[in-house]
Amino acid sequence: MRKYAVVFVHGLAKKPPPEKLEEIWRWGLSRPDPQPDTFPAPNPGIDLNTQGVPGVFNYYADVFYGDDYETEFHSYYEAESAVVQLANFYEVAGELTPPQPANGRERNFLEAFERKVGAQPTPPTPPSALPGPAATEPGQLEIASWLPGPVKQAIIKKAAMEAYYFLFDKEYVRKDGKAFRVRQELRSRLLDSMQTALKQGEKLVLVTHSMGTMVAYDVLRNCSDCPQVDTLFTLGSPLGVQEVQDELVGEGQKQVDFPAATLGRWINVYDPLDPVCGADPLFANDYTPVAGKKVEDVEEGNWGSWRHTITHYFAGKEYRSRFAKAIGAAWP
Amino acid sequence: MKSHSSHDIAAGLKEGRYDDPPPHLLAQAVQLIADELAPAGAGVGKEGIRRAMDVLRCHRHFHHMHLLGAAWRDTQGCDPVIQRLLAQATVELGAFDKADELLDEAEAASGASNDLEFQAQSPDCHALRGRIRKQKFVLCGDVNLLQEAAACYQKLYASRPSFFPGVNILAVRTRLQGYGLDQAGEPLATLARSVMKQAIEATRSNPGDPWALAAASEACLALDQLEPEVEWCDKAELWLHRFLGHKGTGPFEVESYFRQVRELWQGDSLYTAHCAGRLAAVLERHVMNTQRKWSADAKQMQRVSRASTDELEKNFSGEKSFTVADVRKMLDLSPNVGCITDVSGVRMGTGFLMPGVVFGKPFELVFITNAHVIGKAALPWQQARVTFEIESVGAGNPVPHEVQEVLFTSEPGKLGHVPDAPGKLDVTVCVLRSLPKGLSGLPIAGNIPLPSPRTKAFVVGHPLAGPLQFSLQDSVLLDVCPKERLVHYRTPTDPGSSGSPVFNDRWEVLALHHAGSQACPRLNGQGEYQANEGITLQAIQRAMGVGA
Repeated sequence: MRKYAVVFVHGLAKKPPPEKLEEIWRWGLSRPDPQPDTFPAPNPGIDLNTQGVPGVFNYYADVFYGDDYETEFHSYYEAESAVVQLANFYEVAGELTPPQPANGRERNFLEAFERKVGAQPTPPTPPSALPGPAATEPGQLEIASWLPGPVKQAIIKKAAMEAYYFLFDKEYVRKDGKAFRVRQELRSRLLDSMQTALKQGEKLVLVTHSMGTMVAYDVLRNCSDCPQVDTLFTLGSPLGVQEVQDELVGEGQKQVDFPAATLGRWINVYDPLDPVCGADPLFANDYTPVAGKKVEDVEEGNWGSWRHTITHYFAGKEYRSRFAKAIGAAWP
Repeated sequence: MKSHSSHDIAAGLKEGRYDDPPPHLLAQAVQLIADELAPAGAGVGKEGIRRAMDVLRCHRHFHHMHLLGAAWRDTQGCDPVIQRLLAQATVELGAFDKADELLDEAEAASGASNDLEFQAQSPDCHALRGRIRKQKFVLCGDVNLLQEAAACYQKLYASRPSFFPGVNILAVRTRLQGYGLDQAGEPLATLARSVMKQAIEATRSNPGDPWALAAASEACLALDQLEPEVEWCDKAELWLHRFLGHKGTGPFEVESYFRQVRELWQGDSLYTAHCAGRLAAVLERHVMNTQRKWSADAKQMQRVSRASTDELEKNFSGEKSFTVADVRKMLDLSPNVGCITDVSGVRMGTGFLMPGVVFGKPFELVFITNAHVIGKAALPWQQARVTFEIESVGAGNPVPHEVQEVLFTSEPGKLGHVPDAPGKLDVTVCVLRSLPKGLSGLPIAGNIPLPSPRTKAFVVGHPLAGPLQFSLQDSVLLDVCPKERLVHYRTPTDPGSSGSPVFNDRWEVLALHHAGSQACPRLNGQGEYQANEGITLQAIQRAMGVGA
């Protein structure tokens, strides 16, 4: 039994197969001195195997996008300049059945989420980047630096839809006919992953991105069978959006709070130019402190015109130093 | 069918057979033979010992060879062949003065007995004396030794003219010429052509012997220096490739020629504008590809550490698991790795310095090695000496450090036996009376890594017969025992690596290397596999009452 185990929870859009996605995430975390112009050396990578920390990857993209994964992969890591074009948006990000809101509250959620997130300023994509190689595979969103404006908007729309299906626990019927109650399914999968991790490590560390941060908070706050978690990392999280908080607030509570019964520490890492968290990137003032515990907000500027990319967050020194400490590793 | 008991292996060795036995069984077998010699007048005949030593020499088990030779000498006296083999083992283990004494002893015995067998050994003894002086010159730079080496090889050449002494005379005299000191003998270019001719004839008359190919390459290397207007270097490289591709060329042969290119011809793989550098680069790549190791003497390490990033990238190109930052870190830490010898300078194993605080001791630095290297049943600590290669090269001579005090020792357990020997850690932690300046010790890894095909375990150590060696490729952490006491790794190691630090990919020490075997019991589950084994530093800390 190791001292710590990590559970990774991915974010929105279609993904490559679980093992490939995990490989990309681990690569993002372990590469030494990435983007030295943004993060000056020394900025050593963190290899979980070297640190003796077991990792479990919580995967749920198949709930929306099925499991007809790509089988041929190009080298993602050498194609950071790849650009997701609108023409092959569905190829990269997956196609989602548009939701049918049942009432005004649901309609309002979809509209407000998309509006608030879509209104955030993001860096322009320089014309020189646009002729870069076209991204064609789901994993390339995990490393993308440049997205044309229309693609950004399309992703934000997708984020709103995924959040809607999850928060309102809608039944989602995949193209192959298989149906899921989304919130129940995602909660169940994360709880299973946490139990798997607890068999390997005494203390749990959750590393969550984008939509995955909502799933993690929901489980920590609202599931009675949630195990104790030592540290929660939320990266590029939409948990600051008021309409999201309204759907996650604990029973009998007026405002979202720190899930102190199950969580020791919550570190929220944001880039102010990441549209998904940019609407309200600071959580300490939204989530009521409980038992002296409150959210620690950490700004981590990365690079490119799409500031939501997980591997870019993993490159940051602010994040790496805190993550290393959370798993008992020396850094740098 | 391979012999599986130490008695079978001992019997095979005495008949000149070697079936690649597991290291621990081989060690037991050699000890059995040595023990048979202990009672006066009992045990093994000289032919059996000669055959055993010769077969051990062929497989580079110089430590075992030395043990047998010393046991014979101590109990039975001076046998001409055994004494010569003992002297050779002693040379290979780095104790040059001691080897010279052994040859003096053989010479004295020869004079006293008129035994023709001593006379038959005489040419080989000249060659050994030449080698001793050559090696001592490399260590201290005294050109008188080079002159003496030339004279030794010349004696052999006079009695047995062949490419072997010829090429050594050529190398030594060319070096002397570089100092403006070459005086005697035929012109060097003539000698080089003679050597070339002898080597080419030998390749035809004895095609199974690879040495002639190396000699031909070396003769071309010499001619490249002597006649720079002719493109001899291409020929030197061609012969080198023939040598490397020969089925009889193994690690011993490669290292022998590589050492000659590095040390006598000053070949540096970073500087391929010179022919010796070109050959050194070919040899280095070959060693990396075939043995998955990188060896460097202290001078080479100093040069590499000053090299530019571009030069390092060129040198380590193809090492995908290795970055230039890794190389620099590796070189920065290597002065902390020491070589353990007995009082006569015979190499016994490896050890390394760490901050005393790691083991809860109030000493700035402590020295860690195996109990089977320094320990009650091995080399007594009072007789142990530790040299650090970088420091010794700086000083121009080996700088031996004595052990002041043993802080902790734990006897070795059987390979792979976790549950039945939790207290047997095969470690000795000691304090040295003196220390090289400016060292801060190796850092300890905070955690034991998780085994996976991508998890690295690098070993840096002093093989018995060579410079500091870095295992780079194919260095995979295979398994960790449930108690996190033992780790297994598939990392190329040689005899003499005992006591080496095992690093993670951040160059933090995770374990103390202690053994390896083709048939190592698995740490989890049943069965055996090829693995090396290390004791985790955390287990040592726990045994010393420190750490988690």
